[in-house]
Amino acid sequence: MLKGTITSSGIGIGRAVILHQAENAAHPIHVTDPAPELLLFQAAVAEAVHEVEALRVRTLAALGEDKAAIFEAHAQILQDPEFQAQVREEISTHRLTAVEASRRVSQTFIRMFQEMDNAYMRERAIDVKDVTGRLLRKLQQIPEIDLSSFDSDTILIAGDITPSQMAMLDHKKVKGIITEAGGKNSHTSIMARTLEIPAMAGVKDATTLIKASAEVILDAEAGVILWNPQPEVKNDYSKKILVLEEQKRNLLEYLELEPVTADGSTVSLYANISSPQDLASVIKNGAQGIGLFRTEFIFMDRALAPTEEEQYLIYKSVLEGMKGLPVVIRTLDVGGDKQIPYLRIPTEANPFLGLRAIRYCLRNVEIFKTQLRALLRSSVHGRLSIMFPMISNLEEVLEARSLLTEIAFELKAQGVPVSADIMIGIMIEVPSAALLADVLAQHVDFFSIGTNDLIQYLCAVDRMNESIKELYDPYHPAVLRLIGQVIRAAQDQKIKVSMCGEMASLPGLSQVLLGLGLREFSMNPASILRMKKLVRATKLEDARDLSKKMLGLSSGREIKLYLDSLVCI
Amino acid sequence: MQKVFRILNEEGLHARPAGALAKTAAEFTSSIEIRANGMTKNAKSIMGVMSLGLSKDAEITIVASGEDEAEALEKLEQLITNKFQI
Repeated sequence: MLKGTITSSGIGIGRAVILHQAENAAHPIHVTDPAPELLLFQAAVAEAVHEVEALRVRTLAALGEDKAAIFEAHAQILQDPEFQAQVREEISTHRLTAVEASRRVSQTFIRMFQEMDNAYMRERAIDVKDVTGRLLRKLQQIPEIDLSSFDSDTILIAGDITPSQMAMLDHKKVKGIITEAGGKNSHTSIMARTLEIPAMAGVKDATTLIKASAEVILDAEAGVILWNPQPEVKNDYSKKILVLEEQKRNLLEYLELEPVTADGSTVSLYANISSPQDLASVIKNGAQGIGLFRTEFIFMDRALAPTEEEQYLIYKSVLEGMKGLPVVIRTLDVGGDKQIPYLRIPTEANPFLGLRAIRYCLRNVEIFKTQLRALLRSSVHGRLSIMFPMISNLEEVLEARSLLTEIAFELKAQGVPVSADIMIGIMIEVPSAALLADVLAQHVDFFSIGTNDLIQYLCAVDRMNESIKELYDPYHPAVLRLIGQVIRAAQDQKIKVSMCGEMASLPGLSQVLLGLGLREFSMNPASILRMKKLVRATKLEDARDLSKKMLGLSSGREIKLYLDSLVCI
Repeated sequence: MQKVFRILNEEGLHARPAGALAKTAAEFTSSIEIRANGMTKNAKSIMGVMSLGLSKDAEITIVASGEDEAEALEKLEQLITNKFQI
């Protein structure tokens, strides 16, 4: 049995498919006769080149010359005279196996790139790693795994999965994802939640302990992983899956119902997304709009920032896809745990307190302006709101707004249409902004409370630090007080206020938040129907009493105990 | 013969332009070397060229020697001034 962090809840059963890192597979090091090794190397190179060439042709047809060019570079790396000469040299003179020689020479080149001064060139290590990894797989006859189609139900197990791998995943057959690396907020985890695929991260040694084709049960409700289970155990789990599916189906009856409380107050339920691909899930779960589009994910996993035109097309597709429903697009939230190498943010001692989000954007205006132009151009295709992240004082709000006005003016002067009613809002996720909410509310159209960061900053807890994770406490009375204060400030100035963190989907707390006056929630699409059910079962009067009572308690533990006892009844 | 150039690409000599340079150099029989930052690399090797880690405005010297050295330098010059658009 293995344990790990649940990143996307649910239960999945399937055959293990292991994404091996060919660099680490066990293999013989030395040989007595180098001649067959040289032939083996030659054959593996030819095979890898052949595959890369096929990929290039396929990519050219599907995505165009730009995307295909990288595979041409990959083929060149494989056929590179320096690379080949060095591998041959290692085989002939040091009597290394073709695998070991290729591994060592690849490592040398990868390290060389990683050590370069220029962050952009450091990124090139990925290209070399990618293509030499393929060569090593050929040499060891490790099959290439096509993530886009599996024959039977599959539990995918890997060291880590890149966003591009996630994007090509066979949604129908992949019943679970297990990774050794990563945490709740990695892109893979967020995507798994959106796709409603059960997932666990931080599962140590999963790729070595679980063998390929083993039958695996991923219980991302209890946080355990079993493999080759006894028939009765598997039976139990199959029943549990049926129960979960039944619950999900029962929630579907809420799809057509309005999110109103038992005493008739209207609540709005929006979805968080990180790419246009998430729209299907948003619509399927009946969201009333997008409350948070995290644009940083369109900047990730690529070599250069997306151009204005690329961004425009993405924003336009989301706005059009939502057919006039409100869409809140958050400007680039980079830094902290979200690193984008080509943006060249220097290594910082405290990245979460450093050059993040709006701070980065206001100091790197070109990137910011490109995004704002793309956003403003897209505004005519739907109901756009623009939101600035990580605001910690008034100056940042004013500066961001004036840049936006300036660009809108430029666009209009060029004859480019811009919508006249774009709402401008800010994230409230830094305590200084929360305490200044009454002032900030006079300068924006809406607030969105980002609880993940607000809790981290308010309680001074690094949410990535496992050893103090119990101090990261959404039930902390200080957190509830501060949120209450922000909601009141927004109400006083008659501006909208919503919440887009994970906190809103914790059952007991959602009632407290309703009681504190919150009427707009944005969450993972998969959580929306459950929230709607909860809203419809809640009387505002009871919620108000509950929130008053909770604010009167003095510790997070007491609050959690009380709320848990309610949920049990 | 040799000639000094400046890299004009915004993002320097990453995989694609380095590949274009190596590919062009490989069309010639002359031996062609690229020198920069105190290092000398085989210009026909994409890894060699990439490993120089050249960013925008970097200065490089290309040294060609052999029968078609003049042609080679001319073709490479075109490539570099065109920012590696083949």
